[in-house]
This record gives sequence, C-alpha cells and structure tokens, in this order.
Amino acid sequence: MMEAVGRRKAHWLFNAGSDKNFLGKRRPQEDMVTSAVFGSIRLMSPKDRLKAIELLLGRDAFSASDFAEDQDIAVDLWPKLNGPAGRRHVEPDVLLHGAGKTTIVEVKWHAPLSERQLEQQIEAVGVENVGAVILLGEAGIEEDELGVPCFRRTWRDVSRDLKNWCEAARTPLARWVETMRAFLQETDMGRIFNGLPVPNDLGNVAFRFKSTGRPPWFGQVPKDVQLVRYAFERHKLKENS
Amino acid sequence: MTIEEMIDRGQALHRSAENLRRSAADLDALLQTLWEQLQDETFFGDVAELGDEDGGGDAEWVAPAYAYNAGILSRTARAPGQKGRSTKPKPVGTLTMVTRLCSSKEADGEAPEWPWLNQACLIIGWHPHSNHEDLWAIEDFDPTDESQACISHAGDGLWVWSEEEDDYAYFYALPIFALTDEDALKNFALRPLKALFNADDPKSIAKETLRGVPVLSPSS
Repeated sequence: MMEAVGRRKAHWLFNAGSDKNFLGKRRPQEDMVTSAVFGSIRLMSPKDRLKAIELLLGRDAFSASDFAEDQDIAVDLWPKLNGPAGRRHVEPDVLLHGAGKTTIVEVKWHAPLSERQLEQQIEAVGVENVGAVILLGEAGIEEDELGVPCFRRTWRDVSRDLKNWCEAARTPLARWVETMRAFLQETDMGRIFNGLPVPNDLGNVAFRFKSTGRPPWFGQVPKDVQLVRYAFERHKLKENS
Repeated sequence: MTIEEMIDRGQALHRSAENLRRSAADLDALLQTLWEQLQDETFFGDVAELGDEDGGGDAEWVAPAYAYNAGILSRTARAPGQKGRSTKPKPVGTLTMVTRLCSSKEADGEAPEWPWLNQACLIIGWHPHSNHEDLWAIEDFDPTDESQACISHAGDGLWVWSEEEDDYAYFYALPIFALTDEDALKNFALRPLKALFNADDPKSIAKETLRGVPVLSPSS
C-alpha cells in the first residue's frame, strides 16, 4: 500500500481533502496506515524493528518506553482487551511489548481522540504494565494519563526524522525508510514543506487580466526571488471611516 | 480583443490553473507546518484556533487566497510553592496567516503600488493586545478605499493598519517563492513574528528583526 501511494498510484486516498471523501465510520485511511506501517515493521528482523520503532515514536517516547537495545519487540495490532466496567472491549491500535513493559500507540488520521480513550486503554492494559502512550497524529493529549507519560507525535514529525535518517547501504531498513518517506510525502498528514514547485514555463508570457482583478501570477516563472520595491504614499485617513 | 489574444489568454489561464493545482498540496503543507510550529513552545505554545477564511472560489481550498487565525494565550506562571490548578490562559493577541495568490477585488480607483498586489505571497499579520476578536481579513489586503486609507508602511518591511493615529495591527509579506523549506518558514516567518509580536513597539525593532528577511517593501 505504501508503494502504491508513494508512487502516486493511489495517493488520492490520502491527499488533501481526502478526509472529506470518507465520512463517519467510512474512514479506512487510519486502519490502512496502521496496518501498512506497523504491519511492515512486524516482518523485520528484531534489530531493524527496534530502529524502525524508534524512528516512528521519536526519541523521547522511545526512551520513555525503556526498550533495551537487544530486545525483540512484539507488535500486536488491534488487540481486543477486556474493557473497564460498562464497556465490553477496548481496542488499542498497536501494543508494543518489550521486556516487562508495554507501549500503547494510538494512530490518528484526520480524527480526534474520543473521550477517555487513552485512559481506558491504559486501564485495560494495566497501569503498572504501561511504559508510555504515543499518539501518532494531530489530536491533542495531556502530558500524562493515570501517571503514564504520553507523547504526541505528528506524521510530519515522523517524516522529518525519516528525512534526516541516512544509511548509505541498501539495507532492508533503508528501503523501508525510503518507502515510508515517499508514502508520507504523498499524504496531507505527512507532507513536509519543501517549497513550491517551479511553475511550468509559459514561454516568457506575462499575463494579467485587467477586468477580473485576478492576474494569474502563477503563470510567471520566477527565475529567482526578486524583491519588488514600489513607490508608496501614505494616505490620510478619510473622514467618517 | 483579437482571436490570437484570446487564445493567448486562454492558454495562460490554463497554465496558471495547472500550476496552482500542482502547488496545492505544497501550499497545504506550508500552512499545516506553520500551524504546527506556532504551537511549539519555541514559538507561541498555547494558541487557540480562531477559524479560517477562504478568499473566494468554489473549488474548496484552491482559492485566490486563504487565511487562518490563531489566538495567542498567555499562562501566568505559578509562584514557587503555589499549589492548585494552573491559571486560566488569557488572550493576548491574534495572528493571521494569509496565502495570497492573487487579488480578489480590484481597486476602487487607481490601485496603490503595494508590493503584494502583483505576486504570490505569504502575509503574516497580527493584532497585539487583542482579546481574540480583532482579526485580519483577506479583504483587508485588497485595495479598497478603507484599506488604502488605513494601511501604511512603517519602515523596513513592516506595515501597519492605523486609525486616528493609533496603530491597531501589523503585518509583513514574504514572496511565496522565497519560502523554500521548513527552515525558511522558521527563519523568515516565525522567528521575526515572535519577536515583533512580543515587542511593545514593533516599529522600533523592525529594522533589526527583519534584516535578512525577504520582506516586501516599497521603494524609499
């Protein structure tokens, strides 16, 4: 799936305005992203998995999760946990099981957190078992829930770390990073701003509508950015304005 | 208009629309990055969403101009040893970010020679000491009679909206093609904004703050 989006075969599913294409519960992007990202991590070697998780969660959350360097982290997608009183099930998106502690990852893609969502997940896993909670997305969270440290990490944060991560060798992990980076760059949630594309050349045509007041400035190719300096006269304030 | 001219204009319009379409995702990333960075403690931390404005056009956000507003909040630090809930944040001003790709209105008379009237730019405006009710609107940057009466260049690329000798709000404008990456957004858009917003008299620090920033200015 990430390849299909990264190579612009299915990017419309995740691009600007895509959140409006799918309403209410008909919003498959979140689960597709969870599956594609964490599902691919599950297939890695333990060493690569650990590094990929660090890139995804960010350094602070990774440190708080207290994973050991030689650890084989188990990735559990949408586990059905017994819910607290009044609720049959609680279903976190991802649980990362390390030595002794569990990290909860809640994935958001154009969606807010429901009320008490993280609190219920912590209770379902067991407060004493949870090392950290990470919200991957743009929803706001508290710094801690029930004494467990919580971290918000946007998909753009992930993109930045993927962009800055470099490994010369064509390792499986490097290929995964490259695929993730291309995927996120084709989504509205993960795209990093890298300037605007240079407009297609119009053959030096500078065009301006006189009647509509909407000159198509993007029809002009900027050779380089030029500061335009104009004469300016201060206008006096009009009476009764 | 001759047929050749009409064809030329049609081709130019088509190409502009195509360029806009190609830029749309990056314009979205530009504004989203600004919004995320505003909320970073390095810049403003506590901000409130105050809505957005679409400057015309029916095709959603592929519009001639787009603006969103953020309310700046100030939280008074608790004194050492003081217990209880943190103090309620107070509104201390508003920010407005405008991507302006072309004018939506013509000048009532002769258009002023404002540098943002003929090129794509990012306008960064703010209302200091505001309780979140005062906001810049897209129309304020169009050459209406009212705008022409109230907007003036305060020097060094800083522009001001004044009424009866009082300065109500400020802005500066950056050519959109000068914004080449996230570092440029921080250095040209956010860092100067924070310094100017926090200054009691933005005019007094504009020269130093906007030095090296590609702001649009009138000629001297």
